[in-house]
Amino acid sequence: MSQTERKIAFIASSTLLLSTLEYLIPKPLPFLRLGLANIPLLLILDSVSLGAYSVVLLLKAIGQGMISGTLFSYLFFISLAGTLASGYAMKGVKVLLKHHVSLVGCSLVGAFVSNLAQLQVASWVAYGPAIWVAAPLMLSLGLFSSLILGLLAQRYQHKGLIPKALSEGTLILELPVIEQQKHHLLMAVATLLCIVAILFAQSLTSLVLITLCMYLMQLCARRKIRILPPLMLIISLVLLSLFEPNGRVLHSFGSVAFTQGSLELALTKALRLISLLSASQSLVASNPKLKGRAGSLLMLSLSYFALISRSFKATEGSVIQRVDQALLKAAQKKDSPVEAFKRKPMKRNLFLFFAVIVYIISIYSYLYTK
Amino acid sequence: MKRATHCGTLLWMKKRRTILSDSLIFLFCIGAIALISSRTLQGGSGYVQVQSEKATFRYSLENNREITVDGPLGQTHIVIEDGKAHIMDSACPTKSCTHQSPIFRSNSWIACLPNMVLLTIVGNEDELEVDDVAN
Repeated sequence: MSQTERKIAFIASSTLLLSTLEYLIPKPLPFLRLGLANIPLLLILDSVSLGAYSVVLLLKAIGQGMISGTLFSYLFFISLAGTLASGYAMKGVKVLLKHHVSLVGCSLVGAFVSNLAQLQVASWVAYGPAIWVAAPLMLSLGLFSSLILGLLAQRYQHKGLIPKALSEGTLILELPVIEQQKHHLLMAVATLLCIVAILFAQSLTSLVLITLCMYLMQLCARRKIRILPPLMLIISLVLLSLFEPNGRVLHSFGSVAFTQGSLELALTKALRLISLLSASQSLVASNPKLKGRAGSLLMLSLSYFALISRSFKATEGSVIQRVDQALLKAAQKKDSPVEAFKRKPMKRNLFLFFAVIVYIISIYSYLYTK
Repeated sequence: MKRATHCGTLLWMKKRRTILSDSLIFLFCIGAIALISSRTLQGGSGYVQVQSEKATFRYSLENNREITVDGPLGQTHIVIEDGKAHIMDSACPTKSCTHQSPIFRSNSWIACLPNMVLLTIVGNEDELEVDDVAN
């Protein structure tokens, strides 16, 4: 691995650390995001080529998908669209306006374009056109948070040691020693078949049972179950169903109403997406084998991320100082092997048992639902 | 001391150079948000409300579909096509409701009184005003 490739992987891993930190910050609204992971992207706008910058964008999106377990779900497409759109928009503005635009301006453009791209992809893959009712709120909050983010990035650019080392070319990165993880092929195949089963399941009842089984599989695969994202998905799809009336009116609120058909459709869609999200978690837990140069680069990013996370815990000071210290420590570390993913042993047989139940439910519902 | 002052001046000049572009970008974003908000909050093409003797139904006008509603005399067959709704067939003696033009404007309606079925279009008021002026 050349120093340039190490640098790319290292920058990508810093975006992963910041997105993990952002996840830990309590938020008044679940969809209110600062977009901390964009700070490294803002800082490298001037210093890396378009090719290297594109690789960082991809590594950021895929790495986040691997860590959160959403890589094989609809959420990945939404996240990828946001990352690519904002990344290229920021780069474009910087190239066009050069020193006439600050990181604040780039951040504003990035957030605006990212939100638009995410809304469009979310309407395609999950929510339908009704999601655009959320656009005014999302775009306004995005404008506000991107302003703060731009100011934060500027402050870090002036005070941080890593941006200085990156721009001066004095950052020499050591290669971490990576422990190879076992690939669980049978579990991966079983989960892929579950994805097919989820797509074929017809009735609401069958999807409720499948969702339950998928969560049990996720537990067997030793992935944490998060309640908030599926809950938010159900609530948002049910609320959006108000704007797409279909069938008998159950309860009306003036010009909008809950209708039977729309509610059934919203719940079916929500359960299907939740099951697919859970399947994605299991698929990530099976340690998909990453081949070639791209695979090595991704593994290197995840290893740097593991190192930075470990170093971060031992740092002191403000968040900016702690991030800076953790990055510096990780850059120089060469001993103690790291695992890209650290997990307890999985309950393979129980996992496969629940997978078989999923197939049976799906086949039954496909054959016997009108 | 002199060097610190020089650095401060450079920083100030840099800020001044970028403030125009940053402000323009900020204003552009606000303008775009206002435009998108006005469009999305206007709503879609509305929906048709079908009231029968026993229940009320609502359907979006954006999707083509056929609906059958039960009344005291039998079934009323409603069709939604190209953003308009009309009664295709009804179990009433005169069938006059089936000769009504398809409806699509806010507050326009078709009724099949013998079978107690009422179709009403519910949409946004702006659309109604524009159409009325055009007519």
